[in-house]
Amino acid sequence: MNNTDQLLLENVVLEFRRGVIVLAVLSQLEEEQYGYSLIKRLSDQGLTVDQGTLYPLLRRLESQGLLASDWRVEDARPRRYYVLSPAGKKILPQIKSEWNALVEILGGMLA
Amino acid sequence: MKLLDRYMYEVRNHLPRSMQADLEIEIRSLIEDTLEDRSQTTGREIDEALTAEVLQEFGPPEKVTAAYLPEKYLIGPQLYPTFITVLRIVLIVIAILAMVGAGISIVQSGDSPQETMQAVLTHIGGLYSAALQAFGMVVFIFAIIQWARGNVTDKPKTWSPSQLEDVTHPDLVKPSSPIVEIVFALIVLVLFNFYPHLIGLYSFTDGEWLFAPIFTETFFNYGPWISLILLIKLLENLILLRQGHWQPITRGLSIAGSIFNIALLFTMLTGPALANLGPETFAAFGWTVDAASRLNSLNNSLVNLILMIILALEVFDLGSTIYQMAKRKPVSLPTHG
Repeated sequence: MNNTDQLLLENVVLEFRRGVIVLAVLSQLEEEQYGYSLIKRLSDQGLTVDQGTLYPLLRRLESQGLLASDWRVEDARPRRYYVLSPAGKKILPQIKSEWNALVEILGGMLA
Repeated sequence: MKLLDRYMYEVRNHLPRSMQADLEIEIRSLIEDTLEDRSQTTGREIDEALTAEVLQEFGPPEKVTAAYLPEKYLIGPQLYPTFITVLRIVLIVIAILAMVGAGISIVQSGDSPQETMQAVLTHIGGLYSAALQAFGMVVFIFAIIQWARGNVTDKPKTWSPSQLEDVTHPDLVKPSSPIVEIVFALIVLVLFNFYPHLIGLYSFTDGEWLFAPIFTETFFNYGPWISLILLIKLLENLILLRQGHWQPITRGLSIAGSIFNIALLFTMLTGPALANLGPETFAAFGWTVDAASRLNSLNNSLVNLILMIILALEVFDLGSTIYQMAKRKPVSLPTHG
């Protein structure tokens, strides 16, 4: 695949990865995690997320009210722990079902 | 100074004050976590070399901080269309004002071609600097508005198809209008240029038509300018009649005519008296000195009042022409009438 095609592909994929990453992150924060542990957890399950993308995303989700954060000092190092907020916990099942509905529709179109 | 500390110093520099303390700790702890994990998985020491590698992966401090910052606009996408419309109107108005100024200079100088040319060039120079200043002001004002409102999303405006403009009418011209203007212009042109002695005040008294020449020589000196303006109007209306709707050329002629008219009216207002309504003038009418002198006291103020009314109408006409132009409707009309 030549360069322009590659770029085109990357751009298109980037668009839907953005949405997917939000759902992935929310799904993994039912238990609290700190930034780096979350990256590892996602990558262990097959989703590689750049730290430049993930950490700002966590802050954004917190400012939107979906996550809650907490500073904790361990091993003489402060770490910021994120977890789903009450609002986030309430919304998550709905987000999941929206996602599943979309997957079914897309599945039909792409078959 | 350690590499990591130097990196964090730069990171801090790229963050706004409100976010500095918080984000500095967070970013630092992220880098340190990565270093720890890297050291464990590769079995290497956390030394300057490993730090350099990890920092290389993170990228330049500006890039790392950029992701945390909200998008910054000088004039945001929501404000931009309004900005462009305002800018267009302002620049057209500036251009018109400069041309009116030039018009006034031309009408008032008139002695030698050099003086006239000089006056025009000075005004053109003034136009550029005025336009630049106006542009800067508009950008500045909109930048402040943008800064003040932040990235607020507008409430969706309610819209219904009934709000759509009827495009067939605004630029169409009914033939009666230009015909009337052409006839009027021709009459006045002929009068002024071939029968100036007929211009004055007429009165039908005791079954007789009486005439008093009330206009001064100053008035007739403006003759050539009045003729010029009427010729422009004539041309404008002839083209309008032929084309049936407004085009840039006719709008341009209309604006040119308006500019000259305004310049002329301004000169008339500030120049010597146009009309002489003294007792001698009305001798032909057989009016008494009393009645005539009462009219004389009104004299200039009456004339000036009339001139100012005409001036106001002309400015209003010019304003609406500019507004029509700034709306930038497509030149071609829909095929169905």
